[in-house]
Amino acid sequence: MRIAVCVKQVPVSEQVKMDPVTHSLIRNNIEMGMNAADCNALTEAIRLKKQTGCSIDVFTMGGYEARSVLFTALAMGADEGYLVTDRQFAGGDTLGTAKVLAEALKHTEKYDLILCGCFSSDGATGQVGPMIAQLMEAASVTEVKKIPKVEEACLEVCKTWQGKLVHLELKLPAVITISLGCNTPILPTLRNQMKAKKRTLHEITNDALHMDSDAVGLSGAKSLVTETLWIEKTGKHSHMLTGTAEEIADQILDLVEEAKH
Amino acid sequence: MKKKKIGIIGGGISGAALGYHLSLYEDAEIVLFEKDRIGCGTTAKSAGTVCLFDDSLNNRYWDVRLYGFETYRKMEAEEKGSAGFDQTGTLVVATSEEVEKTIKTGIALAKAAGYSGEYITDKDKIREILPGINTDPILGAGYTKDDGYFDGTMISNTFVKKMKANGGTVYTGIEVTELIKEKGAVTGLKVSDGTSYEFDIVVDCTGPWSRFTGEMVGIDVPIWHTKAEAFFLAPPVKRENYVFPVIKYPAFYGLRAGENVFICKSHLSMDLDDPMHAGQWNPDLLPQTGGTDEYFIEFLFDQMDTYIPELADSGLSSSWLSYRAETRDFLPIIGETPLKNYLLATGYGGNGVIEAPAVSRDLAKYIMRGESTMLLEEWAFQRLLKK
Repeated sequence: MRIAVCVKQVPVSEQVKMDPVTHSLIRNNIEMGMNAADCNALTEAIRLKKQTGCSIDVFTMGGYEARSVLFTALAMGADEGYLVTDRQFAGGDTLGTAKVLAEALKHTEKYDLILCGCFSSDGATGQVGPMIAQLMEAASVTEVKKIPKVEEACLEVCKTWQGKLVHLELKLPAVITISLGCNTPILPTLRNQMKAKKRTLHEITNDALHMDSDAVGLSGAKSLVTETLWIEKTGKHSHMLTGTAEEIADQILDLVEEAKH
Repeated sequence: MKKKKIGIIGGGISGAALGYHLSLYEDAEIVLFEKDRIGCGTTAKSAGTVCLFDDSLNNRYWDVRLYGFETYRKMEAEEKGSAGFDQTGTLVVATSEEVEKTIKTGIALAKAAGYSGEYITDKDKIREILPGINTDPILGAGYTKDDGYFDGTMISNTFVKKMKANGGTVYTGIEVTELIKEKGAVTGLKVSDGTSYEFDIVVDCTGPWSRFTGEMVGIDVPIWHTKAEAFFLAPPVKRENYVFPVIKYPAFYGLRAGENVFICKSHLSMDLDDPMHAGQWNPDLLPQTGGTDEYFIEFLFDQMDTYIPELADSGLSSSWLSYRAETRDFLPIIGETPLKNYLLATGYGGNGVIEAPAVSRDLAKYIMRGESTMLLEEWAFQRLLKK
């Protein structure tokens, strides 16, 4: 069995700011890392690898700096890393991203199972995984919590549906999106990070995919971000009460009295 | 009684400790300005290790180390948690005969002050204290169970609380935007809300920001920023009832952080002429987490693989980057500057938590009574001008 996992490099800092003109994230001086749900997806894939001996290829779309998530993926236990990169792919929307990733996956290997995180922490559309499934004409289930059974031609998955845990069986090839927090992500060790850094990554550009430049990237985007809105702060805040037990008790009493008025 | 008005810029460990020590003088009127929160910035990213013996500060300044340690122990005894003390003990590892000598001197000094300390050459005993260690490349290790690490942010807040109780004033979220100069002397400052304050003395305690503060009055504060790159490692083995001690090697140190281990490159191993280690940067642009360099993973791996192989197989949980304010001789700049009434208490490098209490004690005495000390003379701005 061959598994592919699609991962995205996202800001992992809380200091994220938006460009008011382009409505895109300002990525300077903030910590970047693998999208949290993608870490869960890769962890699930590695669990399957231990169980079945399958291989895992990891794909990410982005610029040169996105290589770091591929090195992290290799350190976590993936076999090969593929950077899908081309200026023509830049500025695309979710459909453009899905088209490029689907082509890159098809170009590389006939994968039995493709895993993605259920959504990215920066875009949070949850669209790319199901779009890849549609473009590849593969079965798809979103927000999967676990893959309890894998057989040669089919797969059993668990997901929560209307408050209940349901088991679904689907034929391979399939594209599954993995639920955020469904497992404890593997932490790459220092030793594995050092080994991963010495690995060579594969690079896939449009020279290999031959995609119509009008169908991908900014020029192929069907959706456009016209406005970004900040969530209004609730005005709620917390205070640390410090002092002796008696002092803290007095402060609590004051707060209770204050709340009465 | 006419009071001496003192403005302190910066509410990290340096400004907070000075504010408290000044507030012990009845004739001092103190106002402290912090542009963010008390004990944030470099202080919040400090490991807070104040060990009875290690190489972070030359044994010549043993009393500085002891005064710091005992100040925090007293603070903790007065109110549990106020100094964030975690008594894990410390293992200082001797990788050469020179380090061994320093450790043995430190142990003698600690014992003379009534604390425990032993130099261990029995490798099995060292492995009991630090399982996972490779004892082959080491000569021995000094160990004491009496010390550990503190919390610089808690200490800063406790100092400020005490200062306020003694009548001091604190403004947080207020940035000093201008130092007011008249006839070749600083006479006050202006802050971000437009208010001006008059002071007899202004003390710059802004650490990595002090180069920028100095620029406001044309003083070139001779500090470099060195990178304090810290990694949080999740060890592969969990041991019941085991306490991971503070560990000190010449090139790195570590301590427990919950179930993880915090590892950082030691400040004395930084090369001010290596652009990967040091430079002039803007601390405001530092990310809260991350930002570490690739070279640092390589450095850390080499060190762990050589000395504590078990940690080389730890998961890398998270990391951060902080800037230390370091001088050419790795000692702070305390006291008078070429500009009258503008004093410095900066450049502590990686030793702010260790050195701030003793420095503040002496600097407060100098500001209020004009009496200098050996420490102030040795750590004066002037020494750097000569070089």
